[in-house]
Amino acid sequence: MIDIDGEILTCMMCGYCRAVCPIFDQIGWESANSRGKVLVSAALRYGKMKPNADIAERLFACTTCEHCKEICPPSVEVAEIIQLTRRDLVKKGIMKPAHKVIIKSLNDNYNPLQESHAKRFANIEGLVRQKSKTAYFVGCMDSYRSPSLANALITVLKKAEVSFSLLPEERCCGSVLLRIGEVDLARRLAEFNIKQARKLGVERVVFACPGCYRTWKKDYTELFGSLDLELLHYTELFDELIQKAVIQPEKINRHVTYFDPCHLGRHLGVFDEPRSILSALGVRLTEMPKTRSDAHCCGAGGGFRAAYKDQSLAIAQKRVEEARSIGVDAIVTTCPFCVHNLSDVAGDMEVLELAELLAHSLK
Amino acid sequence: MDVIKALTDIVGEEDIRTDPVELLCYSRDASVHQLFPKAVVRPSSREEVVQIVKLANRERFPIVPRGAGTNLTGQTMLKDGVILDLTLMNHVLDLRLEDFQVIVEPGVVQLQLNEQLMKHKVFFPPDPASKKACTIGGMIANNSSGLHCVKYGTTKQYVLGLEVVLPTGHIIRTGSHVFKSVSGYDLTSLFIGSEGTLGIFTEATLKLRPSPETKLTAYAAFNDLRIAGQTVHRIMTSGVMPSAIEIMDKIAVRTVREVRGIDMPRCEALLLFEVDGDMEAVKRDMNRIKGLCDKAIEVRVATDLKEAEELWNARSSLVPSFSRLDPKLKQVPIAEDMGVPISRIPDAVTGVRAIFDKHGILGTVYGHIGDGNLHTRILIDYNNPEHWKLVRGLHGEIYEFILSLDGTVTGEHGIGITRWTFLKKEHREAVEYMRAIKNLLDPNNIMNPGKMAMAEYPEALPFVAWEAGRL
Repeated sequence: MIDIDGEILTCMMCGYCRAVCPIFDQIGWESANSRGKVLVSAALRYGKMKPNADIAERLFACTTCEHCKEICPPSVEVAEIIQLTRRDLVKKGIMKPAHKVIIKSLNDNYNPLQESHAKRFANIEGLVRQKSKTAYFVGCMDSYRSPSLANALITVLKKAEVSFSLLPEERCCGSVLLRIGEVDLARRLAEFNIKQARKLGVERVVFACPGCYRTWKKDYTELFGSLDLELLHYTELFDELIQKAVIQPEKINRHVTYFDPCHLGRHLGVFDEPRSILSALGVRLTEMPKTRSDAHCCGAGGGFRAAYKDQSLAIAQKRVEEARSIGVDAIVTTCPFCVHNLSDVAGDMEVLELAELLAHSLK
Repeated sequence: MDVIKALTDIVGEEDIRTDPVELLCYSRDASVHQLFPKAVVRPSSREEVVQIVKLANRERFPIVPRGAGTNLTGQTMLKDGVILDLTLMNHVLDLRLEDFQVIVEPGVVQLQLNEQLMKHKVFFPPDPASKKACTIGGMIANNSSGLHCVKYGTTKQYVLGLEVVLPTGHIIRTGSHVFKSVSGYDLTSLFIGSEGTLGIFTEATLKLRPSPETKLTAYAAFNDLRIAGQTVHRIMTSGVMPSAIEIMDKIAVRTVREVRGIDMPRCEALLLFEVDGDMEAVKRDMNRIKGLCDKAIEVRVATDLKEAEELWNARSSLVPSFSRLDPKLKQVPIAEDMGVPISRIPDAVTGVRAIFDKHGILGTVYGHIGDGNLHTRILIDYNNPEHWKLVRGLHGEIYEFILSLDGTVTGEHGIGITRWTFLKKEHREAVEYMRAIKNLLDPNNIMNPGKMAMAEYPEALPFVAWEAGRL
């Protein structure tokens, strides 16, 4: 848990965050920028302003991409300040209507997408529940929106003869709740998922979704202490398997770029493994104008897409234009949220999950 | 007259905000001050700027132009006035490579401009630390400078001409598209550094330089701050022209080492150098500099780009690292900028250092020392009124000392609000003539009134952002 007063104090009001904040880039007013949000959070915290819809409108307009922290000279935890302040707003019942819908869906059906819990894995083939040291945490996005990505991942796991199991029961990791400020429900979901992992007796958990990965690795640890579990994204696992020649992909002749998802890249430092896999696939890689810890956000995360869809898509549009400007045929990424947001505006530019490319190359 | 309605008619509903949240966000810049405006507007054209200024004159409300608000002395905030956020006017209008010039709107961001220019192997040299975010308009209003200005000069040397909307709403064009011109009074120079008090720039013609072929970076560590200062003077009078020369005192070096874990030598002072040009010239210049550092305890030339980058990262991470030294203390930009003639550099660095030590203040001395420009930062308990009292005293003591060295109270950050009381101390009778010019151009005193000491000290300029104890 950050020392929120210390973080607010450390903000030098220098304004460098204006150079990277995706919301500021779209909206252009100072309240849209990280610096403005620190000021607003401070005003609420120290009683200079009362919570209201105007404030909520500004504070919920943030994807929590942490690009501001990256450029911030003293690395102020702006996204953390915003998420903590959102908790105060949510406690007072002040939130975006779209987030109310998400919270209800999670309460009733353990996913944010208003889908039935019973149908969570309905479209995924090859899932197993068995004794295994490795759990595969599918996540809500892949379960309900992109089962093909989950299928691709399972194909690779099976080709590599990696023994894995689903959790006996899987519920949303709670990421979106933590971002939008509904902590109690997030904690209950987290406790449930961890209990399931213990029940299964796994030693490691593999994730498809960087949001789930980040939530387990950072947020669950903050909530409950060390989990004594190895946690990794599929790219970390598959890269190792390729390096050890356990799987040997065939070359794919494509000209692509790799889009660094914020949760996988900037938050968790996983930049090399996806690129290493692409190299093993033999694709021609041209990098985006900004990459790795300096990569720009796709605009989907932190509850932003649900509550500010037009602006979220406008941010995604910019990323697609950047990809077009470097002359690639396809954007490859490793996050179902990025895939969705970018796909919605990509037009004739293909948006691919790396798992799908890899599964295809192992056929 | 409903001013807000009139402003809305000019810029459109999308480009005016008056809600308390937005006004809060425009009440600050990077200084210690806070003033709440009445409205913020975002004009997108010269015509809209003119209409707003004319309205301000008719209805007598104060206005101020603002770019990114990265300024350090309260220049771009206003009590009960209207802030003109010029960041929508962000187009590069005409890149004239054959003339080594570019014409831009005021909201163009320095780094974005240079990223475009880089492809053509030219650049716009003035490089304040805020270059990722700061705008050309703001740089002109502050005569901004940075690391490389010791060789290349400040913003002033790179503005050939301006289009200015005067405080009365009239438009004039100053300067020309020629590198050298002496036709008439140099009005361009008058506006550069005027901190938003004399007019709003709607267009600027900038001079460009060819990008240097290569660079070399080195550091020299000293066990005596005065000797480090003397070495700076030796280098600056030797005929070698470094493209950057920075000083860091022992607190600075220790801070970077402890907070960032960057491997810096243990010393009383560190000098960082850069030379640029063609390969022969940089090797020769660096050898000469090394020779002039004979009193250093260690001299090291970076062997590759990576090492050079690490050294400059150490320098640029100083101020933010200082922020992280103690979670209970906050670093404040007060007495943070000053300049002295280059022969007084040794006295200046040791004297300011001694003032900090005398008061037991945790402060650091560093900066673009090659042109006699020093910076400081101090750490205080923001909520302790005693610390603020100490800081006010310190402010006065440091600037009295600097003026006694025939120095200036600001090398690059400006007067704004923070250094209001020192303009007269430095310029005495000349301030009355500055005010006469201000009154001539702005008879209704609507353009950033009270700033830069251009009027008697108004009550509307509080010293501190948050009252001590209320943070």
